[in-house]
Amino acid sequence: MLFNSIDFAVFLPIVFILYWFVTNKNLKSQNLLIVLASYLFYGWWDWRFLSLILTSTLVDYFIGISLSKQENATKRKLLLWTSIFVNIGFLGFFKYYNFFVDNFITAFSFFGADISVGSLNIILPVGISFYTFQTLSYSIDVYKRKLEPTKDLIAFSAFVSFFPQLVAGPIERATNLLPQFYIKRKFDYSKAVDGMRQILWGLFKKIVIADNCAQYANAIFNNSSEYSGSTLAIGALFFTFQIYGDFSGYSDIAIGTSRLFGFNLKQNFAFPYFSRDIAEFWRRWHISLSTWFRDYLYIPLGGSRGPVQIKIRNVFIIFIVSGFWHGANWTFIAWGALNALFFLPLFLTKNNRNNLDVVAQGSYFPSFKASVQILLTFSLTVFAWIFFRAESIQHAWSYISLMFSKSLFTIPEIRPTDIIILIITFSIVEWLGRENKYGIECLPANKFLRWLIYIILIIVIYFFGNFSEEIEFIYFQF
Amino acid sequence: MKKFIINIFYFLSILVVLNTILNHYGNELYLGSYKEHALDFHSYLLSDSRGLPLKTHTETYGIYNFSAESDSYMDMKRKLNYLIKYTKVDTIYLTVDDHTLSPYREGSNNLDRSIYYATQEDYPNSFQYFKDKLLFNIALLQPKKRTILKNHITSYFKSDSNQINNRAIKSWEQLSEVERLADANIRFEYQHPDSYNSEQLISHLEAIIKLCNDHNITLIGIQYPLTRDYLELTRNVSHGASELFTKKGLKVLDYRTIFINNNDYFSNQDHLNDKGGKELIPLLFDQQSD
Repeated sequence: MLFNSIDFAVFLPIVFILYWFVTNKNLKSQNLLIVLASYLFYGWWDWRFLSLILTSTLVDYFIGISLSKQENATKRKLLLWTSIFVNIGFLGFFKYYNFFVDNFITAFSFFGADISVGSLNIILPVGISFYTFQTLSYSIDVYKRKLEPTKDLIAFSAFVSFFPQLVAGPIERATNLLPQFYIKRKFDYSKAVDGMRQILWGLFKKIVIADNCAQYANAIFNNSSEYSGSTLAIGALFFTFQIYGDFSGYSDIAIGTSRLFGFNLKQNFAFPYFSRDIAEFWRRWHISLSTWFRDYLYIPLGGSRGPVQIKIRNVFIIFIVSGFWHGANWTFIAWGALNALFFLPLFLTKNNRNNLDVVAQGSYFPSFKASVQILLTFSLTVFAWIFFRAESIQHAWSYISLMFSKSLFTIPEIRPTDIIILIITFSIVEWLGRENKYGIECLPANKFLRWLIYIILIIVIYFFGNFSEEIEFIYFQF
Repeated sequence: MKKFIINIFYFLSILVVLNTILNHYGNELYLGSYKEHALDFHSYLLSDSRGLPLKTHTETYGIYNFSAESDSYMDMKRKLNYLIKYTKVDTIYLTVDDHTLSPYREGSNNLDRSIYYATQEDYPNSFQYFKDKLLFNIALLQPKKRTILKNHITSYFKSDSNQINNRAIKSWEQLSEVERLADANIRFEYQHPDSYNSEQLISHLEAIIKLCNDHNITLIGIQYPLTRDYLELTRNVSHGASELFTKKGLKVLDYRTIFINNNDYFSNQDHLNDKGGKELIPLLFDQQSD
């Protein structure tokens, strides 16, 4: 079920009413309702893959309980590896099997050996990269004794399958989300209103910004050889806003929906395109994934400790794995490696933690220095997104070489004025709201003005949204 | 919670008002003349755009021209059910032209608009009927109404002086032989993309025949005049609507060839102009009066 569908518009109020008016007396029934609603939400797409979520839930639930009873270090390690094997096994099979098979065949044929291994027609289950990481974090935290394992199977199932963030995150840590299922939720008016506001902003980002940009980004990337350098640059810019609007829009709807049910999810995006360097960008982009890799991969590898070569190795590993997490294609690996290259100079000169605050805090305009830094970081990000969006490494190279040709300085063939105006307006709103959790979190205190803004947003979504079809969220494929 | 529900109620009320305004203007623009109809006739003409040049001149013969551009048999069936419900209809003139059962009509029709005329009889169950009627009135969920409203608003800000096309203002008879043939070919390719007939449209035409039969309505088929160029292309191609009529023992008025030497009666390869429409009416209906 898509957030931007009529199905969801019917589903959400029904679950809301049942949650607060029917099951509100009993915590267990509220949690059970969440599980059932989540399974319905997921099964709407393909019920067959519910078995994967169920298996992942049961495996990690029982491993968690076993870990708490087990004192033998070897056996504890074995239990942890079972969880990793099952979860990564699912991910490896459904997401990476064909990639590895194809690359093995290519590698062998390069050395003159023809081998025949059949690739399979595998459907990638939506959200598998998200919920497997969520359950993995639970097992690892229990193993490290950072978290008491739960004995409440319903609460744990609700934690794994919680429908607002099931298919595209934020990837919640058990330490943050699971305890929220143990305590009775009370309806909080301001929280619910804030949730509704965030949902509205998320819909605007998705339907107006992302889906309109998608239309042009797809047209330009799919026919890149036919366009001038300036149009290709516009195409890369459109994709930059498409992926941000799409993914952060999804996160906003997910967080807003959770707040309607009394839950607090982590902020997943913190205005990343206003970052002053790449390190800041990565502290603000897909925060739940970056911190996951930091805590469960980078730090166990040694992090920033040890000799320079180890530090460089760790940086490359985390960026490349992060890239590979997005999909089984060399383009994602190249995107990760490129970001590692952008990050390394800051890291090696110990300048990677220079910009921890919000840019131009308390001011309407950034300083000249900050403006240049933002522009430079944004340009590097746009450049890296070309690899992310391209069909192959060759496609990315040809796109870049055509983009940086003489025709870069010509008038672009595609320049949709209305979309460009919308992007500029959107960027201004985001800039003004950058000290908050999302663009329109803090609106004028005057109720009339606030409501006027909501109505204007709805009218803008109605008139400028792309409704040609229900366009899936990009991160569903990851 | 009470405060939240009250606010949601107020907010939804604003949305309802907004929807009503958008729906009102959306309907005006989207439905336009499509919703115009008369209920005090006994005979009705149901056609797609080929029936439009006959305009209201048919009323001289007591026939209401209920034709609309792109109407398919699916739309016409809805209109027929509507007429059966609200009028004392006893005769229906129905287009049975070569293209009316072509699969292209499955996609090129007025299904979004003819919901206006839909009655419960058009649906397998009441739920589907009320759902469609409700959705039709929620402008916020109607992309076509939105597009039309948006285009209407933006047309105020856009100059269309550059859209004037010299080629478009030429009448059919002013075109050269080559231009006529080219136009006819384009039209033919569009209307006859495949040689097979649409099962969906056949079933709706059969339903129309059955409805007329069940309600003692005389059903007469019409094949409109065509230009020589277009006739040549379609001579051996028919998707079988007129054949189905003949098979069922229904009368078909075949006027395809009547104006093949009168290019001045056509606005394009398969549509009459005003002059042609006026000329056709007595030929069609005098014979029926007799």
